[in-house]
Amino acid sequence: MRITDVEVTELRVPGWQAESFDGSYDTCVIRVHTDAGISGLAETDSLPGVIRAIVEARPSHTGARGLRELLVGQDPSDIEGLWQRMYDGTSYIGRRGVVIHAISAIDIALWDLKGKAENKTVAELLGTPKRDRMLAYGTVYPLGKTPDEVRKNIDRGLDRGLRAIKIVADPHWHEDVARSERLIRTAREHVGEEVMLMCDAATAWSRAEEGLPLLPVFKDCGFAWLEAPLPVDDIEGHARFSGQGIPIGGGDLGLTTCYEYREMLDAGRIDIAQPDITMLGGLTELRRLCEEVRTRGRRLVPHGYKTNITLAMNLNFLAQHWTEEPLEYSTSESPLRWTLCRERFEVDGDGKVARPQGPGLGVELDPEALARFAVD
Amino acid sequence: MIPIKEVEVLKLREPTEATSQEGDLDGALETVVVRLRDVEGREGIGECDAPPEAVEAFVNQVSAHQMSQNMAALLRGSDPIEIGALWRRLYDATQYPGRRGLGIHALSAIDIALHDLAGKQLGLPAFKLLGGALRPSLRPYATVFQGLPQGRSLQQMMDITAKMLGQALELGFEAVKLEVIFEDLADDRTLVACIEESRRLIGPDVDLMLDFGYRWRDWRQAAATLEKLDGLEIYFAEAALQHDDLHGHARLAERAPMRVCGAEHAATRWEIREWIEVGKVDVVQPDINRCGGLTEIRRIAEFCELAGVLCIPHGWKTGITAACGRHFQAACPAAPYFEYLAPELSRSALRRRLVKSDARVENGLMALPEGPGLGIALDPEAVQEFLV
Repeated sequence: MRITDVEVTELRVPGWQAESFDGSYDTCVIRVHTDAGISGLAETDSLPGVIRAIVEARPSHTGARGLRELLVGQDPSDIEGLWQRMYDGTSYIGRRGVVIHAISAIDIALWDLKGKAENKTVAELLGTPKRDRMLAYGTVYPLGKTPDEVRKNIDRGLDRGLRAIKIVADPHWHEDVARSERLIRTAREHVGEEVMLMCDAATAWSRAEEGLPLLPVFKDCGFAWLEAPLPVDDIEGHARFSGQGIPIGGGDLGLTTCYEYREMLDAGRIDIAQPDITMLGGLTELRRLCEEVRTRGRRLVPHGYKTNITLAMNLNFLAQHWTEEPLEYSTSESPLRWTLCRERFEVDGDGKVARPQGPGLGVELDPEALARFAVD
Repeated sequence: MIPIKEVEVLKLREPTEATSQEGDLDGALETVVVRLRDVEGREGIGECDAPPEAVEAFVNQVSAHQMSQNMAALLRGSDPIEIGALWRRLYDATQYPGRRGLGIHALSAIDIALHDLAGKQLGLPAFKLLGGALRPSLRPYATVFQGLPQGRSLQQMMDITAKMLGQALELGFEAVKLEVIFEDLADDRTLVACIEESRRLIGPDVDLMLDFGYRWRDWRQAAATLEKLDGLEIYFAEAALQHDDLHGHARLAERAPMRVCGAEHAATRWEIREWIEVGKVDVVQPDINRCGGLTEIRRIAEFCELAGVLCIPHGWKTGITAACGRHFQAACPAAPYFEYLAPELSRSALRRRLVKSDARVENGLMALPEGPGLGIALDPEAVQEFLV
């Protein structure tokens, strides 16, 4: 089997004005086609126009080549070899950042393709599936400024049947710690003891001092983790959150490759690596990251806030993960998030989502959605 | 000052054989220029190293959320003298797809163009915006790149080497970097002989730098060769190991008899800091058009001074990048040299023709740049010829 083409499709919900921190109103779909008539499918949480240009780039020199030109004619089954070929062939312009996003999508598509060729799920290709249903957690954003608003907003998540909720810290939290404590305690009291709670501080704090006073509250309220406490470049700042009784997650804001994670694990001392697999370097780089994380005795919970392609990939990964971890389940109202694939991945009565059983990632694009959202 | 009105991205490419699969390592055969225009019609230009179409798409990205914003829209209406603030705003507003890699290359081109435009508005050369001249004249090194072997024999490669070394000296350079990217033509022992021969050719008084083009994967093997070069007074050894192998660099730097350097692909001061703290190199070589522009390389140079490390930027593009090297060295500490791709030593027509005005070298030195901004201008004919 040989690769014949790499196709990039930009999809966009018309009229989206970028008014909130929600990247699921557009996506970049990649399909790797072969002469055997089967294709691999993936997406990346990145800029579709840039990804297309990186894939279609004319070769400039041996360290600055286009990904399509590097791949066409190659045997798609040697995924790790192709990953290295893409990485080395873009070393002058890639290495970190958006070129790694493009490599991520192609890598995932190659795994999907391999699954289809061998009639296996990606979970089976990655390891031994140990579980068929994953606990889903939804993000509640914005949380609200009063206890009443907190209860109302959390209900939006609970009404979907979710049994795990991630609340999002607001920039005003550090201005009034007492009020913020009230909001956090309200969240716990409202959901009861049984529902898993975590907090994402993605954009709330710019210095460790702003977040540290709330750590005892999170601990007392039994939060499962605190995510992205600081801007991702402030690695030393992350370390100041460590050892305070609540696991610290990090890296979800776009770290690329294991090299970036090593710094975050060693100098940043995070407890949970939260890679977005569609940005990190794909499933191939994820496997390497798993080794790095596991040998350090830390945890890995993938980030994912895009469409059901990403959800299907994360389900496949979590099904065979060395430890049981929850699935990030975007509650975005973007129609792309819900309708791009034929599969729907509903939350069941236990707050869980079943993994797809079809070969590869186990998802198919819905032609109607494709026609509706594709940008020429 | 006068606000920015337009942001333009020009894709320029030479129609050459180098755009074939087995092309040389020569990125100067294409470029992407960001051109800013203020409301009164003044222009500022910058360039970077990346596929032009990708940079264009990055600058003009459709805003998706607060960490992924259209850069051109953020620039329009802004005051070009607020370069540091604009750098920060653009970095934060593109950090989801940006932060390292290609997004920073795009930011570099914009930052360079801001220095050019602000300098033109004020009637001041860019190095004065960076703080002013720390030295009365500039000290470039010339790079001799013979091209990849591509079927040529070692003897042919050495003949070209001898010819180009002679040219560099004739042009007035007193520091030369030799690319010893001979691939399989030379085993390590032969490579040492080639370097000895090169030293003999240029005599004892010229500073000689070496670029190994990522030859080794094992630091001990690299160290064994570098140790054999002791006595040849090599100024630095570049790209001996893989770019990501910082721990290997640290061990090599301990053993090598000359300065060990790298980081030509690094983007942002954070990556450079890792090179210094983990890689323990003696010299870092960020490219001004990839690391984050003049703003970022100035921060890097100041950090280098604190760390006892030299900052000698990589530069291999058109006259825009060459001009940046001059303004950088004029104003930044810890900068004994900058890489200067002499137009006479480049086979790139873009390098020779895109930009009017180039400096002369005399006794190894160049004068401080003159004229406002970068002190250069695009040649309209060359733009027309190479525009994609």
